Order: sequence, then C-alpha cells, then structure tokens
Amino acid sequence: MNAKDDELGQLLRSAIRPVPDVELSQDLWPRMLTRMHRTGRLWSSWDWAAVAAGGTVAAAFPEAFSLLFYAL
Amino acid sequence: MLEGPHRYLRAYLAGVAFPTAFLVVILSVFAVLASTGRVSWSAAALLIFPMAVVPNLWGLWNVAYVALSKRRAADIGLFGALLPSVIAPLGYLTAKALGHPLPYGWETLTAAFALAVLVYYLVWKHVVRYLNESLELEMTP
Repeated sequence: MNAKDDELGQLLRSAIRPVPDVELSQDLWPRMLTRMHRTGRLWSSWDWAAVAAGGTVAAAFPEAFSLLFYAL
Repeated sequence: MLEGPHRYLRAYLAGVAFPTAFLVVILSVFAVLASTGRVSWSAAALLIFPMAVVPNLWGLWNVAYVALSKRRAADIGLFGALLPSVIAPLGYLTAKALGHPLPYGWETLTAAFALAVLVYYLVWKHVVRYLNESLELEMTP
C-alpha cells in the first residue's frame, strides 16, 4: 500500500458518513414470527360462530342492533 | 411484545382508531333517523357517549391490554369482549343522566349487550390486533 492508497482511503472515509451504531437494538426474531403469523391468519371456527350468533341475535332483536351504534 | 418509544401512546392511538372512524357511520345513521322523524333531534345529546366516552375507553382498554400482555399472553379478542361490561352500564347511566333513558326493555338491552360482546370480540381480534401490529405493539400469537 503506497501513499496514494492511504490518501484515497482517507478521502473515502471523509466522504462517507460514519455509521454510528451497527448493533441491533432489539431481537428481530419476534417481529419475524409476527409477520409469519400475520400472513397465515384466517378466521377461526369460533369467529364464524360469533358471526352466526351475532346475526341470530340481531335478527331476533333488531332494536338491539340499533343500540349497538350507541356503544361502538 | 416489542419495546419502543411511546409504547402506551401508540397503544392508545391504536385503540381509539376504530371507534373514531366509525363515528361517521353513527352520525349518518342518527342524521337519517332524525331527519325522517323517527328520532328527536334533542336526542343528539346522546351522541356525547359514542363521540367522547367510547373512543377514549377503547384507547385506555388497549393501553391496559398492552400493559397486561407484557407480563403474560392474553387473547386480545377475549380482552376486547370484556369491554362492553364497562361500556354498557356507563352508556345506560349516561342516557338516563342526559334525560333520554333508553326506551327498551331488559330483553332488548340484554340482547344488545350479547351482540356487543360478540361484535367487540371480532373487532378487537381482527381490527385492533391489526392496528397494534401495524404500530409494532403486539407480538403474542
């Protein structure tokens, strides 16, 4: 390595802003798990049962449905 | 659960988002009912509850959920389904205090409560959870 290389190295280092912190501030695996879980999430049978039960209640008591607007 | 700045503020904002966005539906329904004479315009005082109380309770409930799930995994749908237990009596008492008691019998009120529990379960499980994840809050499956 000659003087010109050193000079070039210094020039490059001065031109590029130094990276302050390259360490991870947190574990990224939980976030990865969430993303994987999110893509595979579907409505469960409990959810459909809740929809069916809600529809039945709303059909039997239409006024209850209007009251829902008051509480939502 | 991810740590990060303003965690509880993000939880509050994720909580208030749905009922705040839904307000336009409530106001539209009320405007239609009032303009067709099916509801008195004076009943507009009742709108204080869904406009001011409900969104804040949703926000605080989500803050409570985020704080709780930091210690142990909790099902957000079931947690949300508990909220009508707070909102229903408050709404009933607010209507009474405003001089517009809800003109329904106990059967209808009970049915409305059951319906609210089911709807809240679904909304919290699918909407609030999505908002929490979007704000990088919820990490429990």
